[in-house]
Amino acid sequence: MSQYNLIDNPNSSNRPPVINVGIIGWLRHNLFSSWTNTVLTVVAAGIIYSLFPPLFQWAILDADWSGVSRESCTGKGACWVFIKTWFWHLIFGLYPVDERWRVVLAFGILIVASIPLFIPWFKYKALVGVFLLIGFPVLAYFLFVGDILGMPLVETPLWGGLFLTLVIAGCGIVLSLPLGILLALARRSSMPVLRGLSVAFIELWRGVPLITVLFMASVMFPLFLPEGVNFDKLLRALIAVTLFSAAYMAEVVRGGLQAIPRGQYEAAQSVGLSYWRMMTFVILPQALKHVIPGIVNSFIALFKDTTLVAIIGLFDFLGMLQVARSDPDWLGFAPEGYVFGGLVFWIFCFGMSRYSQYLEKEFRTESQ
Amino acid sequence: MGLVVAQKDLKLESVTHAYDGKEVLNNVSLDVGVGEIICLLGPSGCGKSTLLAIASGIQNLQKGRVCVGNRVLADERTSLPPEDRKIGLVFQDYALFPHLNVFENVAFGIRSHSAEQKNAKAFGALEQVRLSEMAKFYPHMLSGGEQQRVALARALAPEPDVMLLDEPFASLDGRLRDNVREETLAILREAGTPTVVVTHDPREAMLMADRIAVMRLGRLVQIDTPKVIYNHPVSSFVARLMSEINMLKGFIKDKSALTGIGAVSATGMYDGQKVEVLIRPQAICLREPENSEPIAVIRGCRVVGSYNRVEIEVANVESLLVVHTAVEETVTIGEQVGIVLDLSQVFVFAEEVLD
Repeated sequence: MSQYNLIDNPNSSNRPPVINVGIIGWLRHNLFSSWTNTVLTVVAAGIIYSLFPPLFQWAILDADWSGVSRESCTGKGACWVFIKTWFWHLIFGLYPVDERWRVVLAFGILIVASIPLFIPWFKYKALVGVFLLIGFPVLAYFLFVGDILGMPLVETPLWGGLFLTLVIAGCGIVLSLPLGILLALARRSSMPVLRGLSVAFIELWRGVPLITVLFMASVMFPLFLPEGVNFDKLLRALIAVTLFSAAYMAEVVRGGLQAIPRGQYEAAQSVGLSYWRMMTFVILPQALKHVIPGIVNSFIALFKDTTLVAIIGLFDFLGMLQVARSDPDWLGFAPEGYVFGGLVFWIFCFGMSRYSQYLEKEFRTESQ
Repeated sequence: MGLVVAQKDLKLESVTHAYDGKEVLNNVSLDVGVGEIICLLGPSGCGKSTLLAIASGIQNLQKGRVCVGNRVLADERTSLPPEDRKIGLVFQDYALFPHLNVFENVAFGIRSHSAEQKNAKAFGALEQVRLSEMAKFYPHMLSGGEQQRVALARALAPEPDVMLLDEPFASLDGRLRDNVREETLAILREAGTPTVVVTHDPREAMLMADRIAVMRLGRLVQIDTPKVIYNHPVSSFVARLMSEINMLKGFIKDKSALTGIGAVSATGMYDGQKVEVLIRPQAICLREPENSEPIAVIRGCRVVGSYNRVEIEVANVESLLVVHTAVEETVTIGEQVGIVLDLSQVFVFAEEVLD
């Protein structure tokens, strides 16, 4: 009997020592497991301590939250009244106030239509996908531009703010992926002309900075057009961003294609699949799955690169922030503006990053 | 009987192929009849896999002709792409589609008018390999043998005219390999499709093939039934390929090959010609020494399942000879024995001049 007593009696000295379990155990294991780790922990704690309390003090505790004008700013901490005052301009740019509902409606439709894609048991995902990729862009175009069904025309120079950022990034993302896939396939093609063209295209676009491309699109390109022919500036920027991003996408996708063993191609051919069926159903699903992190990486880069369109006179989100901080009434509030801008960009980019992790999990069929 | 449709033979005519100027196939012709299973046997690098790749269209034909029935799949000028050849392929590593489940893998190649018909055919193929209960599994969830069966079902499901299997059992081991081979053979027999199996294992070839085609350095050296190949090899290479074998060097004198263990009759050779005498391990019988016999000394003995592998040393012979004896026989290391040859398993060939 006595040997069972040890197990039956939880108060016996057989329990693990306190320092190896619970919070103390966790600390010992993760933060103080070796000398170098201990030093790193102390240094990191020091940095956090010296940085965050002042930031917190500035952004939250000492900040001014209410008011309508500069008079409400006490100057002790951040003055968020600045952001409040400019908020709707940051979102919509110069889009007429009375027509803003059209933008809200379009994004509302986008969000509502996307919800079913996240419901596992929903059966008509393909149908929703087709709507989102084909129907929605047409609908959004007419809503944004107007001049139809009694909606007044809103020209693209009035578009701006976060709305414009999302339009450019959205078009760039949706168009650059298929284009990048086609370029990647062409680059691996056995036809020399096709391969050569693809290589030339990719290397050309990858070889120049996006700013140069945008400048060319907005300043040089019109010089080549015949007199009187005008080409919307936003459209030019969109095309430039899309082609630029497609070149990068092509290389990411090519990396994925190269990871697929030759046997997969041979097996697909031997069961009678034509080139396009083989690519669509066997090779690309595997290849793209491998490179989801790379693709999303490109998307995030593209999203942030859209801020460069400010240089050619389009007022995207960051462009609007610049306008706001140069407002004579609000000089000296750049820190608030950039902290807010950074936060907004971070939310979107972090969202994309989380979504990519969700996708990776969703598509995971091999054991890992 | 579900899948019996193919009633065409596969003909490879004078196929010649070179990689970077190095010849890998030299004038190979092969005719695989309806319902016939042919094993391509040879050491690695002999061109057997290339021949399969050419037949399937994965590799472009350079010279010769590939036909199925009266349909020309490829000649010097035209070539059907692999997807239009109606040839089923099973790969050494199976090459299953990892992102599709078992059912989708099998259903992929089936061309049918209706979805129901397609599903029915796919299920039929899975039933045939006894995997219908695993239809929803993904390839990585299956064992090696099951994966092999999925690969087989996938190749059979589109009802190909010809089946080509490239070392299909190479990644399985031991007992499992024997079981899977038996099952595969039964399924192929039932399908009745002309089949070519590439292997480097003579035992496998003898267990599966109606005829064995032995290849060496890009040439077909002998094609015949397993029995003929084993009992009447045309060259020392074929004899050595088919089993473990003892090789002695000797020369001809008076229509006999003289070797360290005596004379073996040999016809059609001239006096003084250098020869190789090949003796299968089971062709050497050990017994109590008598005066006239060559004397050997037992140097080693291992029980290898159904027989004993005994090593003997014979005066005038450099290397130890291997003898297979019945398990019941007891041998003592160091013991002196007499040896007698069973001449039906002894082959004499002119010595090969190796290039």
